[in-house]
Amino acid sequence: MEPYRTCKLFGAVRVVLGITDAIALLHSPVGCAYNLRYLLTVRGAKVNRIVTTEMSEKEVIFGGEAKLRRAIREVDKRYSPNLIVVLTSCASSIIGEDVELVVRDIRDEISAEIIAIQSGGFEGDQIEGYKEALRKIVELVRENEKTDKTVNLLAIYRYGKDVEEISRLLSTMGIKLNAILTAKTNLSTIREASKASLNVIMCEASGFDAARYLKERFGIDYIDPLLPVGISNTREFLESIADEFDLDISSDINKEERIAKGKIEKFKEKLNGKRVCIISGASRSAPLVRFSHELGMIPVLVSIDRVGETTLKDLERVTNECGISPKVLIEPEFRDVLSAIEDEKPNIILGGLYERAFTKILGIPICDVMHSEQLTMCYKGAINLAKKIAEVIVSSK
Amino acid sequence: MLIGCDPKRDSTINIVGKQLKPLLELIVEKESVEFEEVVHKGYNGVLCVEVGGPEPGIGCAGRGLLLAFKTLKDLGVFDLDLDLIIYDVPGDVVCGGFAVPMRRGYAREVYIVTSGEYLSLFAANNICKAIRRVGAKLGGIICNSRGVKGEIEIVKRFAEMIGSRLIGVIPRSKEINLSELNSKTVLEFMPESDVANIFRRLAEEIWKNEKLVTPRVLTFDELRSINVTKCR
Repeated sequence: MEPYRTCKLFGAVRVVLGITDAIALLHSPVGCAYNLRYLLTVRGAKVNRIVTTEMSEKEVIFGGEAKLRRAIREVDKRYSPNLIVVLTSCASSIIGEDVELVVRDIRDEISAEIIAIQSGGFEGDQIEGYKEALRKIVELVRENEKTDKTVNLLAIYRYGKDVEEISRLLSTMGIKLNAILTAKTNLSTIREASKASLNVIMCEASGFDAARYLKERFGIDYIDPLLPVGISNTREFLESIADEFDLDISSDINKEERIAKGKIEKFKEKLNGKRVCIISGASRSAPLVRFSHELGMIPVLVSIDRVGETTLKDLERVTNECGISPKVLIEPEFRDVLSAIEDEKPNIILGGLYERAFTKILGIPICDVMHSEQLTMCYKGAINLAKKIAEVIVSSK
Repeated sequence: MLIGCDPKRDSTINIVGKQLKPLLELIVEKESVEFEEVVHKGYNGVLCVEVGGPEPGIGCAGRGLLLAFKTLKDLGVFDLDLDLIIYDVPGDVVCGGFAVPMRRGYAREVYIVTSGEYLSLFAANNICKAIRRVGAKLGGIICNSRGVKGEIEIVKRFAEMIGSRLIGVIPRSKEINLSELNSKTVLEFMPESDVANIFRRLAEEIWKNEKLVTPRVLTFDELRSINVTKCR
């Protein structure tokens, strides 16, 4: 009754938003588009590429295919996008609107490439949306000559300092980022994704289907390392990519790692023995546990809103390695998380915007490690996060 | 008053002598609809409403019924001083919307028209499920003959098994077809015919009917057993 997850449309929309020359056309009542625009704006995204056919009761009863056709033509003319992605909502999915037919019919008439994705909210949660939309998007990839030492990041939907930092570190080993699917990418880059010889899955809950497809169709290998959050995760992340190309970690990276370790030491004094609750999605849970442990903190609770293919295996590996046994909540309700936090009495919560509610209710401080614009990954991200966590803890006293 | 609730929009043709512009079509075309556009007077003062619905294969007719009933309520149709309202609903109650006329506040009695054919009875049995679900009452079964051997017996047995009764039998008749071809009811076109009298008697039965039941729903095997007996 108190959800800790959202709907399929949410994930599908985010995949489309990561393509800068694409428009997400929701075949939906206005609310779906407005709410997503609102929420994603609060989370720092640019949302003007989310548009809607504005279905009303009339379209629900008589079918909205005519309105959808008009909207597609309008989008094509008004925004001149390279790609239009038609996304169904609960309303259009329930009445079984034949969006594939409309898309097939109108394809030759418009300038943009166009695809349709079934993303009715009740059809699944956001992970299903990410997964299916990404799988559909990679069908746009075309045959290309392989470029040496080139990788794609797969299943990452937020561009920012983190991606730039990963790119910078990889470049010190002569490895080039090709396509980032889907964050600040575009249709032509997507089509050229087959230039890469390796896909690095950044979200194991949503990336495997697309990775398997690209492996089968273009022979691109894939790996799913833990996200580079903290020192040892970053090391492992970079090594796993370097191994694929028979490369050694560059001396620049070794140097940066030494510096980061040194800088983190001074925060450790403030963080040592502090109890931490980690509330996250699939891909950040194990990395954050390991990083918290690295900082001398004690992870007492890990809550994962939706587990993916390897989430629990990863978490088990990390907790065994750290010799800790935090309470683990899997796909909980909000109230379950609330009462677990109440029981564990942590000093700090690591989470995102949704977790601010716990600070409001329980007065326990939160450090946003998900939705901020700040650097959270790789060595510099580790220093930055350690500093931020220490500040939150000190200021809450 | 007769309210035709089938998206095929064919319920009221024989009373008003033409196909009415359906209510839902009016709603789509205009901001607001007027009473006079929706309610039409037909043969013998019978008021008629044709609800209509989407084209086959698109949209959601069930949702259309919900909107139509809301509009009829807003127009004050249910506040009229009427002798009787008949809701003509399609035989397959395929979703929640089609059960709307049976819900509280609308039809007080439900009559199921079926032939003696197995699949027709199957559909009738399904309607019983919907009647139970929405808490409506079944007034009886009307046999619309298809010429199946032992048909009246079969429908009668079905009616009894679900705890109801056979309240009337409409024979297979040339007069009905002929009247239909002239877009008229039998009562208007051939008022002296036997069939017209059969309809009058049926109307009388329904008018004074007090045996309203919550029907039992037959199992698959029970339904089959009616069929098997027929074939012997």
